[in-house]
Amino acid sequence: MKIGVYVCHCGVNISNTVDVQKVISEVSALPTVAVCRDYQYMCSDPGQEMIAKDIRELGLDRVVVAACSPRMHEPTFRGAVEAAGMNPYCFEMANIREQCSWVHEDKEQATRKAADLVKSSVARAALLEPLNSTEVPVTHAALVIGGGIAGIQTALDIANSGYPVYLVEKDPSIGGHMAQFDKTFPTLDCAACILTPKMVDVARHPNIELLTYSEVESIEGSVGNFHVRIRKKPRYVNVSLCTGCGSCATACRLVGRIPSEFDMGLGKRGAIYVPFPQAVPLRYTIDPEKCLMLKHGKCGTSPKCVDACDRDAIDFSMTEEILEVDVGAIVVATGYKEFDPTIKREYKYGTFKNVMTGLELERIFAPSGPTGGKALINGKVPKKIVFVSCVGSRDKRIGNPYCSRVCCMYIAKQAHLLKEKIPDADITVMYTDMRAFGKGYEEFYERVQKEGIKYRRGNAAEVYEEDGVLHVRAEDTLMGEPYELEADLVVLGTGLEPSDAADAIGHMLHLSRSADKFFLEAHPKLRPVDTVIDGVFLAGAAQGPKDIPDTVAQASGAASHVVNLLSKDVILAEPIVAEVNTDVCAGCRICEILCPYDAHAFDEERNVMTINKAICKGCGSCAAACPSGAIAMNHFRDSQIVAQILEVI
Amino acid sequence: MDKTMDDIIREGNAYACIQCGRCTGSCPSGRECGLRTRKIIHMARVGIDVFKTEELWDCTTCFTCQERCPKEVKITDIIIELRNLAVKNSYYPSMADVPKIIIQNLYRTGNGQPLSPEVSKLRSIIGLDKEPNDIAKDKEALADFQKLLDGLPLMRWGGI
Ligand SMILES: Cc1cc2nc3c(=O)[nH]c(=O)nc-3n(C[C@H](O)[C@H](O)[C@H](O)COP(=O)(O)OP(=O)(O)OC[C@H]3O[C@@H](n4cnc5c(N)ncnc54)[C@H](O)[C@@H]3O)c2cc1C
Ligand code: SF4
Ligand code: SF4
Repeated sequence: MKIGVYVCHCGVNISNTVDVQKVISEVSALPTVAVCRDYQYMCSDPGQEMIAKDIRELGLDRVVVAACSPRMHEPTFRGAVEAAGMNPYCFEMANIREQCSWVHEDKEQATRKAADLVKSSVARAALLEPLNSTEVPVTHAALVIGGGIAGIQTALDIANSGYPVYLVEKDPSIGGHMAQFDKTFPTLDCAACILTPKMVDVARHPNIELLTYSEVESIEGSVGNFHVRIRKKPRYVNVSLCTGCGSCATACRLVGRIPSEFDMGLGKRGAIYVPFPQAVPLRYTIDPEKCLMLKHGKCGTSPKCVDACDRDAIDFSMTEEILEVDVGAIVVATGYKEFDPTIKREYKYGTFKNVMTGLELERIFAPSGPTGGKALINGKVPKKIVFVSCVGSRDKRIGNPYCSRVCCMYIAKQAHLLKEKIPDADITVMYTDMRAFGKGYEEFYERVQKEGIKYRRGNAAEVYEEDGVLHVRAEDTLMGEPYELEADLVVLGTGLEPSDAADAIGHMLHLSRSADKFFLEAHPKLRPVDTVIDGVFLAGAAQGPKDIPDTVAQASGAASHVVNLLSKDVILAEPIVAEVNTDVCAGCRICEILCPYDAHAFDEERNVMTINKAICKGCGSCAAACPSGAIAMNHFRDSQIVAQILEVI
Repeated sequence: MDKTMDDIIREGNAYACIQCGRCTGSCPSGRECGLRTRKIIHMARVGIDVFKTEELWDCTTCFTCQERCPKEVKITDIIIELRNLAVKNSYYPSMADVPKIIIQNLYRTGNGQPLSPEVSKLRSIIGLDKEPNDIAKDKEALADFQKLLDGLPLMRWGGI
């Protein structure tokens, strides 16, 4: 056995605390070590070349690099040894930076520990076995979950690259939250003008199969080969017959009686409805919870909608359909939900109708909204308006310690729009800190102040009512003076939380969440659109609060990763997986319950467990738990781990 | 063990404060006087000897600020600890702000704000004993308490 060992200085990150020469002299003495060298930066080109040269010239069997965490550079060095002709799984890494030099101060002891760590890696390396990746074919199609601006952009980018896309949206129309806005910060683009054409493109694109009013039921398989079951909820309207004329909606007995979700409950709809006039697809849907016919089997003498529809499109016998599709990659774009401020009792949301949330006010601005775009609150034009920032954000008490990143700017936008509509309105923004970080945002903030919006640092403490008038109490923290303002409209700058409908998707795909409960990316800086599950990507507010520019950028990023994957005919599956020795397996099925990825399948006939290599992530839970010792983890065999441990104790 | 400024700041989670001012805005006392709750937290964090300030004594310990602080800063707890520190370092509120009568009440009844006839009446309306079971009722305990107070410089200011 000839092992080459390479100790990295990592600039001075390691060598400041660890005596590299001392480590080299100790390790060189080991019988299996053929060569031991050090270098300033092993990961650099000359560093990698040093290893390659030794493999070629000395005929090394194994290579150990003592440097940073394998999470950082294991793939780099595996690639380097493979290029030099060695099996990449014959490479081993000793972490003497994160687990040694960075966490210790005493140089002598740190050096001793570093030497022990390297020696134990050498012991393990001697027992490593060459492993070969298996080739897995790739299904050339993608699934995008969520039809907000994130899902729309992702689907269009993938489809434009020539791959088929299934876009699944749970609501009757795509568009997400952006469809609810009138204008968008900081350019004040009309949201519909920039969004509607994209929605139409999605519907018309030959490569996109748009599945609205649908939900993902189950997902099986792994990267390259996911099998997805999608449930199409019954609309009770035949979409191929419906022309979207809307005669049914005007005729419905319940027209104007049901709070519209799209209008945040401020406007009313009937039991048969489209959420908004630009909906895509522009096809009507019957609300099964409200429709008299569907609930009671009776709607007067005959259902009015049926009478009104010339095309006979209404079909009460419709049932749900299950669609099964195969895809190679999945993008999760499930977006966000607005924070419900009812629990912030001091702001009296829910008690007074003129205390509103940000999203509710968006609908007041919309020409298709409950007031037809007129600035009317409960029928009156508000003259004294107070905005409150950070409601449900930067708030540990309610469990949302993060900044929602869009509220400062949407408050500025809404203050501007109100001032435009009501020039004599007295508008004050009570804020914690002003976060105008994006392109053109600071400039917009300055602009609205010039328009006469008063910004007073210090957030609102409470809202109370006296003689029918609302008062908002706060401290102007720049003056150090408490004050209060009368208000006939209080707008709460409500923050963003992950969508409830994302939970089920997260479970199906085994996605992790970060502390803020949004989906966790594979690396916060270098892999912001990947998840730790291969073939599953993130786009938009599902990954964390985001404005539209960032959402679209991330969506295009996710699409490019998908296209990258789909452009391959086969991919290599990681060979570090668990294997069952069926001669030893007693069929107790303990491993099956533990596997977080559902990689296990029980063979009833032979009464033994089997593991799907394509799904197994090599976490080792099953191997550790198996009472019969029937499961071995490739690359982490008991013998390899024991040799490593014995060397350090 | 005596707490230092640093102990008080850390235990009270003052480093989490974002200076939003919700505490001052919520403070019923600050509306009537110079108490700026947020400012106390700021001064404590930047190393100003805030225990020397008079405003500290305007807090009624109603805990409204602490209940509302979005960063879970234990504001009222901090104020109470700062008062302890103030007394240990012989910084007392000036007599203009804390009338003699409060000290005298404390000595006489064990309570800075003793039971008033109005409150006593309210108590009986809602079915409570006229007097609460506190130190004022227990003559022996009150005598012990007075022994503890005897000799404190604060008592001299109360004319006791
Ligand atoms: C009041 C307010 C005003 C704003 N104004 C602006 C602005 O002016 N400019 C700006 O840049 N940003 C603004 N934003 C931010 C903007 O809303 C987001 O950046 C954007 O909507 C994020 O898009 P998204 O597609 O990621 O999420 P969403 O818009 O939330 O879309 C997610 C979609 O996924 C669907 N979905 C969720 N779960 C499932 C599931 N399990 N299956 C199928 N479908 C599912 C939802 O129904 C929805 O259609 C504002 C935000 C608020 C709250
Ligand atoms: S409410 Fe809390 S976070 Fe805000 S200023 Fe007061 S102590 Fe600081
Ligand atoms: S506890 Fe003190 S500082 Fe806090 S609100 Fe009440 S009186 Fe004001």
